[in-house]
Order: sequence, then structure tokens, then C-alpha cells
Amino acid sequence: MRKIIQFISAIAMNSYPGINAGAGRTLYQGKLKSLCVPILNCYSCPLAWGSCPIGAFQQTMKMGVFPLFITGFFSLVGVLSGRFVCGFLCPFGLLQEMIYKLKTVKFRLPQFSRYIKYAVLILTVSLPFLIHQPVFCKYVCPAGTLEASIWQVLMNPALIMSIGFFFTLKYMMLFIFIIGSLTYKRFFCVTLCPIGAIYGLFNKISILKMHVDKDKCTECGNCRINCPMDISIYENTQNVDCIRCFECIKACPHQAVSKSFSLLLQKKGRSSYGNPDSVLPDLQPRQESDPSLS
Amino acid sequence: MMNRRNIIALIFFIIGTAFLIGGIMKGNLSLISGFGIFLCLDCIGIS
Repeated sequence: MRKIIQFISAIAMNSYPGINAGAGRTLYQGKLKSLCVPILNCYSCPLAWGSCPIGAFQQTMKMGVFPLFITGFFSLVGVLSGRFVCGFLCPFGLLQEMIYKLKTVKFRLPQFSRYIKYAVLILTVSLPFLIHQPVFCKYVCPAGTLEASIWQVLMNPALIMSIGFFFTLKYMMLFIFIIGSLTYKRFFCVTLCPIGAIYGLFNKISILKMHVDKDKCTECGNCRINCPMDISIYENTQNVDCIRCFECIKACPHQAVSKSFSLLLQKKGRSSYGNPDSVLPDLQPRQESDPSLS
Repeated sequence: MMNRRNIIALIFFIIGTAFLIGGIMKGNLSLISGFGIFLCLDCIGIS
């Protein structure tokens, strides 16, 4: 079901017939382009209807204007769903999951690699204002290379004359991304994605929450084996890397994992690891200490 | 009854909504649609 939603989302966001629009009209430039999609989807993709939020953020900062709209947009999506959009809507995430399914040698990413994306995020939001360049789009983003660069260069032969160092750098990043995605689960999402880093920070407070019933959980590790982000949900239910794909709910043989979408506290009797706020006080009467022991 | 995290979520929701509306009123949308009138050359690695 999730895969179907991911495919529908990818097609819905990228169905503008830019390739057939005629010479010089390789991009959709209508009113929808003013709005951001909630995930990484390149503005310059000839099929894209909307703008990439992190690209728009950088371009607005580059002009010396604080991107109020996009900051608000990130806050709302984050508060409502955390990283749910990464798990269900991001076409780039879908691509990585498909690449990972190819039979090659597989590895696990070291823990420190999960923090790289925060450094990327800080540089992505600050450098456009300081040096007036959209650094993430220009030097890193493999989505731009894959979704836009290849096709735009093919459709506009005049662009070939302008190819230089940055073009080569972007294709090197794409190559690293493909090799990484073959061997590691969601390599880009775990290590580099600044949008995922933003939404991940909201996981701890988002209305959409994950829960693990510690009475049922045996810590068998099935959740981690099936998790596209390679995390153990029982260690921390509001993990910043959890993309709310609910694969752990399906994978758990003891039905210990569940989700909720509510501002209110959980029902009585449920408890979860790693989320002290969601643990209700023990309603059992406390045993009085035996006076004979003192 | 709401716990501490839900109160923080509500605060972020209100601030987010205010930023979103403020951004629209300040003309952020025209900035977004206009940054690559024909093509965002940075995105495709040409600049």
C-alpha cells in the first residue's frame, strides 16, 4: 500500500508534459510553481508542478529575504506529521528503496553518519544568506542532477556549451548517491537530506506518534530488519530518523508497535519506550512497605 | 488533557500558521515562482 502511495505521489508531483511543451518551454511556470511540495523534488525537473522547499528556501535567502512562507510550511508539515512525508510522499526516497532492493553487498551506516545531515542543514540555511549561493542545490543535490540536469541538457543543446566544474561535481555526487543507495538503506535520507533533518526535529512533538508496548515487545529486532532507515523503534519511538512508514507495525510479530494521530494522551494501559511523556502513571496501588523489615 | 510535547506542538502550529500567512502577505510566493523564470541553472549544475 505504501509503495502505491509513493508511486502515485511521484507521478502526481511530476506529470507536467514539459518534454513535449516545445522549444524553450521546458518548465511549468504556472501558479502552482509558487507553492512548495513537502519533499525533495527539483524545481527544474521538466515534469515538476511545484517547487522544492529547500531550493525555494535557499533562493529566497539568497535574495536577502527571510523565507517566512517556507519556514511556516516546514513547521506545519513537521508538527502534523514529522517525517511521514519522507516515508509516503518522497519520490527520491522511493527511488532509494528501489535501488537498495538490487542484489549487492549490503552494509550498515555508522551512527555518526546520521549527524552529517544536521551540518548540511546548517550550511544549507546559512550560506545562501552569507555568500548568496544556493549551496545545497549547486554542490550537493543529486535529485537536481537526476530529475533536472540530465533532461534539461538533453533538451537544450545550448547548455552543453556551459558545462564546467560544477556540472562534473554534481554528477560525481549522483554517482556516490547511487553507489551509497545500493549498499546502505536510504543512504541520502540518513546522511545528507536537509529536509529530512528539519522534519526529523519535529518527530518528538509531532501529532503523529509511534508507540511500543513494552509488555509485548521482546526486542527481537524484526522492526530494524524491515525499517527503511535501519532504526530500532523500541529504543526510541520518536527517533529523529523515523520516517513513519509503519513498516515496523507490519513487521512486529507481537503487535507491540502502534501509531496514533492525536493531541491527547494515549489510552490507559499503553506505554512506550523512549517517550517518557507518553507513559501514564502507574495506576496500580502501591504496596505498602513492610514495617517488620525496618 | 495535553502533555508538554503537545503544547509545544500547538505553539509550533500557531507560529507556523502565522509565518505561512505572513509569507503570503509579504509576497514570498512570487519570489518562489520567480527564482528560475526559465530554468534554475544552479539546480542543473551550470552557473
